[in-house]
Amino acid sequence: MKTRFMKKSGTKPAAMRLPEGGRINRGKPVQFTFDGTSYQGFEGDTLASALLANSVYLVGRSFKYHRPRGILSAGAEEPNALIRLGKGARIEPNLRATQIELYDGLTSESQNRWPSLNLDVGAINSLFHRFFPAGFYYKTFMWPASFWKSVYEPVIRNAAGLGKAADDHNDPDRYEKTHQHCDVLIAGGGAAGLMAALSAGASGARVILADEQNEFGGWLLSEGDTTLDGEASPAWIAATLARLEAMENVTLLPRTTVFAYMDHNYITLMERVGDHMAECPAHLPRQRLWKIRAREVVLAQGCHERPVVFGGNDLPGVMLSGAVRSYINRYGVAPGRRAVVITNNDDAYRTVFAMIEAGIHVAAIVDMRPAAAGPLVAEAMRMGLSVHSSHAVLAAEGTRHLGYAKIARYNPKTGDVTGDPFYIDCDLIAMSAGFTPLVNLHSQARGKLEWDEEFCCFKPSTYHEAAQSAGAGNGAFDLATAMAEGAKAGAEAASRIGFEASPAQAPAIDAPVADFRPLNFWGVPSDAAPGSGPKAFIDYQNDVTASDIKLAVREGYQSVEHVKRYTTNGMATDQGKTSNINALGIISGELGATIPEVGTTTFRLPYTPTSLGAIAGRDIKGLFDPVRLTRMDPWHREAGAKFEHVGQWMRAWYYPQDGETMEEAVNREVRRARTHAGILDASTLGKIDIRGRDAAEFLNRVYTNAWLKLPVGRCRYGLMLKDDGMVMDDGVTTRLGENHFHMTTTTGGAAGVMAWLEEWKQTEWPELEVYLTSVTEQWSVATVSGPNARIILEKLGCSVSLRDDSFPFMSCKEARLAGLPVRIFRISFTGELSFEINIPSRLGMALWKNLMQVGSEYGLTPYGTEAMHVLRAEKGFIIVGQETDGSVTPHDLGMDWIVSSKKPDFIGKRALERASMALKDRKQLVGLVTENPMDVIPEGAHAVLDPNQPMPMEMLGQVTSSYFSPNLNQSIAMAMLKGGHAMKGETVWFPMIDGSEPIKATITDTVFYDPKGEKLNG
Amino acid sequence: MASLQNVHGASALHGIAAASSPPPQGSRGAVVMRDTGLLDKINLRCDAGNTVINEALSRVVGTRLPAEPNRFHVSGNRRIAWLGPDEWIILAENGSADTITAGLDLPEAGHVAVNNVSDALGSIILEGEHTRDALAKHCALDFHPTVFTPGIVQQSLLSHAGVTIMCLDDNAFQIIGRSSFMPYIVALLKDAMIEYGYEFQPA
Repeated sequence: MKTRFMKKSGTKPAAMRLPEGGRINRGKPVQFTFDGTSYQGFEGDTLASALLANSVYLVGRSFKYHRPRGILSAGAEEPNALIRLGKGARIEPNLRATQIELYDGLTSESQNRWPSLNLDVGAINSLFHRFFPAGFYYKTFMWPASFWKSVYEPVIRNAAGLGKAADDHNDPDRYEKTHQHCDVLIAGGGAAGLMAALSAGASGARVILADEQNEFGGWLLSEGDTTLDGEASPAWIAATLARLEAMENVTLLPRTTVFAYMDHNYITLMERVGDHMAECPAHLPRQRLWKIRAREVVLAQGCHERPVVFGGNDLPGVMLSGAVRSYINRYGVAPGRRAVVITNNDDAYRTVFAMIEAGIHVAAIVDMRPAAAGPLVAEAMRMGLSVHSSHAVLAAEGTRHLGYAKIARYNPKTGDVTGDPFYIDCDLIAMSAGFTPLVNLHSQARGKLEWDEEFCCFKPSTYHEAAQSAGAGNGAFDLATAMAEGAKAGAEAASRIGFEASPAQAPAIDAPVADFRPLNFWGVPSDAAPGSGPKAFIDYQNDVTASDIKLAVREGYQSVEHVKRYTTNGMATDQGKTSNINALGIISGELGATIPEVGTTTFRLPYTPTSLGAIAGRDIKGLFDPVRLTRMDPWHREAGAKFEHVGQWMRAWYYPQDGETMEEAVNREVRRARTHAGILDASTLGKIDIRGRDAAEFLNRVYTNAWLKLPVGRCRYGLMLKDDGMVMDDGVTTRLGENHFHMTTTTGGAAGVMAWLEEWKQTEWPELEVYLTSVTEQWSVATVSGPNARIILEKLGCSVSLRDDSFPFMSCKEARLAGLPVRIFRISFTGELSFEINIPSRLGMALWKNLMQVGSEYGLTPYGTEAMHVLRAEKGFIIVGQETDGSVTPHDLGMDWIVSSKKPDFIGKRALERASMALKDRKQLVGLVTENPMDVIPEGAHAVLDPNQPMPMEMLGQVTSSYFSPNLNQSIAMAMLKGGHAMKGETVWFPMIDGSEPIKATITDTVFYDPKGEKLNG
Repeated sequence: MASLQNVHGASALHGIAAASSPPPQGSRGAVVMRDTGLLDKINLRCDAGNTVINEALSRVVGTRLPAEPNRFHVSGNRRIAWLGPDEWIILAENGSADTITAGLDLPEAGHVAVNNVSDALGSIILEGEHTRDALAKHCALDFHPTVFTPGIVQQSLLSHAGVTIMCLDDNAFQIIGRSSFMPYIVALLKDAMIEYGYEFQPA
C-alpha cells in the first residue's frame, strides 16, 4: 500500500496532514503553539486536528490518576483534550481542543500536569490506583473534621482538578447580550436542522437556526461517502445555506451553542463572535449571549458516539470511530498510520473505508457482534480485510501512545473470553459502541425520555414545552430518515403556530446502507482477575472506571443518582456526554435490571461550559447598577461634598471645609443648623400623589393613626406597618385638597411602598376610589432648618406669610419663592424651625443656588446625611431601617401615641393584638447616655447588665444609633433593649469587641435635645 | 428680592456632553440619540370610557384616549400613550402642561387623577437603522419591525431602568425614563451602540 502522508521536512508541513481533501484552507497556514512548541496548521483546523496533523497525541493528564490522555473525539463531547488557551488576562482554562478554532498566534497549554506533560509526578497515583477506588474521598478523608477545609480540600484540589484561571482577573474582553424572539428556533444545523429550517423558513415564520460549529452541516461535513443530489454533501450544504440566506425571515447563527432551555421556551445561546480571530475588533464583543423567546423549538442536536469499554481505552491513539472519519474527511488529517477498529455496529466500517482511502493501514476489524454481516461487512471482507466477529479488544497497551491491541474471541452473552488472545501492533484504535442522541436540551426542558431497545439509547418521548426533536437526536441515525424528520419537524412547528408550511423536499441521497443497531452488551471482556488488569474507563474526565461503578453497586448503591455522586461519574465539565449510557449499562448488568429500570440522571444546563463574562454581559463597572443623582448634585460636588449610597441614590454625606475631618465637618454642620440655619438636599424622599373620593379612607387603612379629619393644608406624620404589625415605613403626608394628598416615604422605601399600596388598592380594596401616582422625581426638595430659616425665605421673596399664625407647624402652602412656583411644607426632622421647599425639579438647582446666595448672610450651611442623622437623633426621631429591622412594632418604639385604638382597622392592627406583642421582654427603644460623655458606643454593640459575667454573656439588645452630639457636648445613643421601657435610669455595659474597657451607660428617654420642642418655632 | 422667573430650568439630561463614535465597517450607519430637552408630560388616571375626559382631551390635546392597549395617539406634536387599563401619559411641548392639566380639571369628570410629571421623567429619541438592534441588547421586548411598529408603546426594563418605549417611525424610538435614571440609560445605550456607531446630541 502506498503511503500518502507528506514527507517530514522541518516542522512544516505537518507530518500527518493528508495531501488533499478536507475543509481546511491550505492557502492560509497559521502558526500556533502548544506547551511552548510552535506548530503550523491551516485555517479551518481545530486545535485538535492541527495537533493530530503534527503527530501530537499526548495532550493532557487525567483528573485523578494523571494518566496520559489524547484526543478522543472531534466535538463537544471531548473529555480528555482540555486546554488552557490564551495569554495573560485572556487565559481561559478547560476548553476542548476539538472545539477551538485555530487562528494565527494561538497559544495553548495542556493541563493537570507537573512539571511537564511527558514527565508527570502525579502519575504515581496510577500505581496506587487500588487505593483510589470509588468513594475514596468519602472513605479516607473522614476525620478529623477540622481537616476538611484546612488540609484535605486544598491538597485534593491542588493534586486533582482541571485548569487554572488567569492570574490577572481583569478580563479585557467585551461581552454582550441580545434579546430576540422568533417563531421557530432550531438547535443544530446538521442535516435534520437544515431541512427543518428550509421547511419553516419557506412558510414565512421567523426562524433562528443555531449551530455550535464554525460551519453548518454537522456530520455531513465529515462524510466522504455520501452524495446529495449527485454532489458531495458540501455542495448541497452551500446551496441550502444560500437559499436560507435569501430568506429575510431566517437568521443563521454559526458558532452559537444553544446551551440552556428554560420554561416557556425561553432559551439561551452563546455566540462566539470573536473567539476564532487572532484579534477581535474593538467594536465587537468577544461573545454574545442570546436570550431567545421562541414560540416553537426544533431540537436537532444530533448524537454522540459511545466509546467501547476495555482496558486502556484512554490511551492516546484510542479514538471514537466517527471522530477518526471526521479528522480524515473534514480536516485532511490521518490520526494514525496503522489502525485497529473495534465496533458493535456497522458505522465503523465507513471509518474503515475512509481510512483505507486516506492510506491508513487497517490491521484488524474487531466486530463484537456474534455474526457480523451486511453489505458493509461484506465489502470489508471482499477487500481482504481481517474481520474478527465475536471478538473484543481486551486491552490497549503503550506508554504515552498506543502501541498494540490485545484481542480475543469472547462470548457476547457472558463476556467470558473464550479464545487465546493475540496482539496487533497499531497506533490507532477507532471504536464505536453505538450512538447516544443528544437529549440534553429536551431534558433540560423537562421532556421525558424513552428507551429504544433497538438502538440501545434514550430518545425523546413526551414534551413539556412547545418543541419537537428530529434526526439523530431523536434516534433517527439513518441520513434519509433524519432529513425527512427534520423537514417534517420544521413544517409542523410552523403549522402549529398558524403558518402554512409543508416539509421541504429532501435531496436524493446516495450513502452506504449501514446497520446502526449496536450489540446490546454492556460487559467488559477481560481475561484478568477481578480488580487487576488495565483500567477500563467509563468517565474519562473524572477517571471513573468500570470497576468503580461495579464496586459502588456492590457496596449497596442502587439508585443511578447515588452511583453518580459516589463515583462522580458524569459529574465533570463534560457532564458525562460519553459516559452516561455505558455507566447505565454496567449498573444494569450488576443489578440485573434493564437500563430503563435503572433510569437516567438529570441533564443540567449549560450543555457545554459557558463563560461567566457573557452571563455578566455589560452589567459591570459603571453599568453594574444605576447611580441616581439629584438635580443639585453638581453643586454638592463643586462644594467638595463626600457622598454615601442610599439605595441607588448618591446623597451628600458631609461637606468638609479646609481640611476638616469628617467628625469636624459633621459637628460644624450640626451646630450651625441649630445656631443659624442648615440646608439639606431632601429630593430623594419618596413622594406619592394620592387622589380620589376615598383617599382619606385609604390613608386611614394604611397608616396606624387617624386621617379622616385632617384639615386641608395640614400635614401629619404617619407610620405604616406590614400586615405582621411590624414597622415598614414612615413619613409626612399632607392634605392638599379634600380628596387629594401628598405622601412622603423614606428614600430607600419609596418604590416598595408604592408597590405595596398599589397591591392593597388593587387586590384588597378595589371598591375604594383612589389613584396613586409616583411623583418622587417631579420635585426637588431643599430643606431649610434653623432659627434663621424664616428670614432667609423672606429675603428670597416669598408670596405667602411665613409667620406662625398664618403658616403654623405641620402645614403646607403653595407659594412663589423668588417668583418660582413651590410647595412649602413646614415640617421638621431636626426639631428646629424648618421649611421643606418642593419645586419642579428642572428648577431645583436654580432654587438651591439662590437659597445659598441669600442665606450666606445668615450663616446658611449645607449639611449632609450624617449631620441629618445626628440632628434627628438629638431629638430622638427614629429612622426606619436603622432603629427598626422588620421585627419592631410601634409600641416597641414607644410610639403608642400613633396607634389609633378607635379605628376599626388598619394594616397590621390584628397582628398588634396578638399576646406576644405585649410581652414585657420585647426589645424596646431607649436612649443611652454614657458615663464618660466622650465615649461614643459603636453602633451594633450589645448591652449586658454585668460585663464580668462568664461567656456567653446574657445580652439585652443592641445599639441602633450612636453619635457625639456637638450641641449637647456629649455622646448620645439609642438602643433596642429587652424590657427597655421599664429600665429607665438603670446602668448597662457594652463590652468591646477589641477587648478594651467596656463602656458604661445609663438608660434614658430618647429625646436628648429641647424636650419641650420650643425651637420648632424658631 | 431676587426673581428667578426667567429661569427655564434644566432637562433631566442636562450636563451630559455631546459624544460620538464612528460607524465601524459593516455598520448600516450610526444611531443618532438626542435629548428631547424640556418636554411636558402629564400622567392621567381615569376610566378609558370617561366621556368627559375624552371630550376634554379632544379639545385641549387634540386626540382621545387610546383604548387599545400599548397604542398611542398623535395630534401634531402631542401624544397620548396607553400605560395601563386606567393610566395614560400625555406628551406635549414645553410650557403646555399647566393649560392641559387645567383643561382636564373638571368636577363633572368624576374619578380622575391628573399629575404634571414633566420633570419626573426624561426623554430621548433614537434614530437609525440599528436602533432596534441597540435596544434589543438591553430590553427583552420583541423589537422586530413587524411586531414593534410605529404607534406602539410598551413599558419594560432597559437593563436595570424602567422605561416607556414608543415606536415613532420604522427606525425611530422614543425612550422615557425616570429623570435620575437618564444618565444611566444614555451611558448604557452609548455603550450598546459602539457596534454600530452613534452620535449623542444634547438638547
